[in-house]
Amino acid sequence: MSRPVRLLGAGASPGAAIGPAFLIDRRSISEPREHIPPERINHELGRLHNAIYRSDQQLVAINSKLSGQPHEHELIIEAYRLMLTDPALINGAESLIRHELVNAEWAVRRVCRQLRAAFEGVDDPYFKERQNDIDFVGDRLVQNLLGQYQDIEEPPPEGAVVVAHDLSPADTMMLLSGQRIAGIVTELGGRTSHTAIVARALEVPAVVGCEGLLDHVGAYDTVALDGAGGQVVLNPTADDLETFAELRRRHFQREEEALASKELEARTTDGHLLTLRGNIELVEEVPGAVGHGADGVGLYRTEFLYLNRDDLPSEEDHYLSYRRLLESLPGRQVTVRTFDLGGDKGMPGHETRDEANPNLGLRAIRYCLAHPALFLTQLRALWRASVHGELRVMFPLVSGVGEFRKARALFEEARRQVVERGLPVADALPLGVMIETPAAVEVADLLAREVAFFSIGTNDLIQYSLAIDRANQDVAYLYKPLHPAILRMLKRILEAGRSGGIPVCICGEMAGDPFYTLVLLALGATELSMSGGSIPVVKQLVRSTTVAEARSLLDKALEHVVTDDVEAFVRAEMRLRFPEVFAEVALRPDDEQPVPEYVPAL
Amino acid sequence: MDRVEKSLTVINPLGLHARAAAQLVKITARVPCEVTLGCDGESVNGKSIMGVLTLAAAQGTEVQVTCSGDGAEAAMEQIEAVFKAGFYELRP
Repeated sequence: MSRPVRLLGAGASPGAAIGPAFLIDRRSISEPREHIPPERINHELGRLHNAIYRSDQQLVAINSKLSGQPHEHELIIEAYRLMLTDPALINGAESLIRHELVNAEWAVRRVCRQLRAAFEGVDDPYFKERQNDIDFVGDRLVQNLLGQYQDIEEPPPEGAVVVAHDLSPADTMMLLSGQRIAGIVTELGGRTSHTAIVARALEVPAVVGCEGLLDHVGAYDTVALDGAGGQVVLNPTADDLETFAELRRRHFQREEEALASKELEARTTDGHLLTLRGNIELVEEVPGAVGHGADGVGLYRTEFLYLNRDDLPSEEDHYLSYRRLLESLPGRQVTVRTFDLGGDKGMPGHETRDEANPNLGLRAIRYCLAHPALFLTQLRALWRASVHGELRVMFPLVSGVGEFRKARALFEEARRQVVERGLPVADALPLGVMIETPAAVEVADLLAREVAFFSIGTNDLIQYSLAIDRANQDVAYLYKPLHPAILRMLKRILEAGRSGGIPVCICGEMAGDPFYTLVLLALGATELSMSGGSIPVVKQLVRSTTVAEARSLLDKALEHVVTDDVEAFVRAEMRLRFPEVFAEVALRPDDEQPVPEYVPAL
Repeated sequence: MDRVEKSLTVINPLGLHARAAAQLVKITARVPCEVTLGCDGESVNGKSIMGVLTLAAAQGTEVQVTCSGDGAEAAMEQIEAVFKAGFYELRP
């Protein structure tokens, strides 16, 4: 029996899985390189054309299995097929075989390198990325020449865990279109990689960025993974198997409950209605959020548009993603937050400046006001998207009325610019602010006269109010959502919203943490926005309590004046009152348990 | 020998990216004549999807299309149609 190996990656798609490893190892396929005698030219040409034919047939097979998948996937396969039969590729490889007397594998590699080089001078990152497509086509050809191509002739068996260094979009689609696999683990990739997005959309548990994976895994080893926490265990012990099986069972149960509760209202038994919305970063997350019962999107973070690229997103990039988002949520409210980045984050094409205190520096709305051209690009795109759905827009980190007015002036300027181009725009868009600084809390009543809504970003509000840097390990322990100061601030913001007649949504991590649901209810919350996965449990809590019960819990909690005592009291009470909910939360390997250590295999 | 030249504009928002290039090459690969695409002083084989992609033609780019050989006229008509349709990426 092999020793268990515990690895930690990034949770990319929730759910737990246990299954035999199906290994796809494509790290730098090395091909034999040899010169051939002239009499073998025809033989090598024949091998080349056979490999092209086989590769093409494999892509046709993928395509036919993808029927019913989004049309976009078919078009990617089509582009690959055209590359395989591209005259530049075929003529180039034939010519190398004929005139340089090299074998077909070597010829394919050399011609692919030349084709890649043609993209070197291209600045546009999209087009530059097509180099990966050339590699994909070249790899497939070489593997077919070597008679090694495995994933088409031998698709993973049902219930297998696919283990790979990295997966191409075509691999991922293929894997997910055939038999139901149990899960995916890859060494490369992040939460926003293609594999992660597709796995989430199709609800297959996945862990990405799991370093050292292929050094330890053998074909058909048992693999257990938790796609929420990112834990992966190779050759799990009997105890591990029990834990992961339990995680899986509870995930399924929760999913079933989620589906069952999707249409239910989050209404307390004494009639108080909470609106629960989704926090998302990618349009691909919309179906998952809605499937878990999200009533529209309370926070769409636009930073993703700026990441993983060398240049700035164009107005068109912004517009197309907002439009897709709105069109995927017809008739539902969607709140987009303008970008929350700063000089320290290294905006593409902008000088990165080291700031002593980046959290107190030029970021979020301040950065936008300092770079109006950049800001206007996003604002114009939002106005153009305004005709495609129920859009609301909000600015992050606003600290006073003056700042809001400056941002609003640019917002109106953006509308004029779009109208001048003769494009359709909405007459008006609800414009709101994030309340995340103590100053904004103090002037919430003044802000409420000018804005259409508030959204409370509890993460930053806690950080700025308690004067702690969450990234600093020495003070991170002070980060406490139930600090009485925070609770008083939340109450004041909610009251300012009520007397100003504007809606207030709470959208930080606190909103999705079931331990705090009753506290927020007692403070007078009416709208919460959280990641889709948290909605069912929060809804379950709301539906099984009353506002009176919530208020009595908060009153008793606040008899404790020390934050840790408040926290301990609330956690204990919640566990006591809702044992069935919190037994499950406790099982999740979260921060209360040590991160699994890295045990090298013998 | 037939030879037709025309300047066509890329009108779809994403430009001549992979899917759009695929739509174009599906046509050019079938026509009997030679097809050449040029812009910014570069010139590529219009039947090569990889060649077309190296043009990195964004929305608004003027592409110089040349068809020469048998059926050049008919080929140009088809190519012009797919450019004007925004490579079928424009929504109605």
